[in-house]
Amino acid sequence: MAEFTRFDNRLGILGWLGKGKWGLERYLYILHRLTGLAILFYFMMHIFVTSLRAYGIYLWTEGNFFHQPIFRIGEFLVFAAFAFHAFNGLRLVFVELGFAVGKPIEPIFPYETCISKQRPLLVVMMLLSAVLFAMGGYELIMALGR
Amino acid sequence: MKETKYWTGHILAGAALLFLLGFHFIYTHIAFLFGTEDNITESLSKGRDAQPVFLVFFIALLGLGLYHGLYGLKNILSELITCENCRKIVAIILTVVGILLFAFGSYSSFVAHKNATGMKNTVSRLEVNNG
Repeated sequence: MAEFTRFDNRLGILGWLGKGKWGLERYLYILHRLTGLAILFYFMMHIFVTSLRAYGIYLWTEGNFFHQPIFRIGEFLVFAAFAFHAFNGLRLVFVELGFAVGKPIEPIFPYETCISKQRPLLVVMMLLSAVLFAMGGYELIMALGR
Repeated sequence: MKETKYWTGHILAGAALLFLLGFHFIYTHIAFLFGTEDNITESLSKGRDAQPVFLVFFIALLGLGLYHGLYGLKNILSELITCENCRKIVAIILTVVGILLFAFGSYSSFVAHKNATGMKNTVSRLEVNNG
């Protein structure tokens, strides 16, 4: 008889990748987590940097340390992460609340999935995210050109 | 049941952040929409600090952002950590970190508001004295 060890089905962080066998939604979900962690990391640093204004130090303004091009590019990456995380998060909320996934049906062969029903929502949200991304990119190019 | 409430709070905080953080990002990082070159100049930043509405806005953003972010991190760590007691310790640590950062950020925003308002009043008084 085979011996079972506890948690032998736990794959940890590497399990997130799934060796390419999962659908698009699953990979967006993983990207959602990664962008969320990146935004949280930035947010914590942002709290400390912006708190310096209590001492009259505005490090992000013109001529100061965080106004350099490298940080402008970093800010754009955070903005891009936000654009994706916000719209994908909105999609996840809609799906969690049962919107855009179709009505429940009897599981009769040939089975249908709700993926085709909610895919248009995914496309719309990613397009909105892309619009925001493009606007941020345009602003970055303008800022670097000045 | 308690966890359901926290999860609902996480979703609601996310929805509120979509608008608040969306406004913050668009206002500060897509300046061309507002017909300006740069919305994060020192004078504009100080001007925002002087307004009570922005003080409320910054504190709301801070609280909602910390709750949404740290609760999300707690969920990810809970999935990766197998020991139940370790999960509880992580939850306590993240709660304490959240409360401390919220207190620190709110205090700094309040001081910045007070300084900016004081500066504004001094400038107004000087303008009055100089006729």
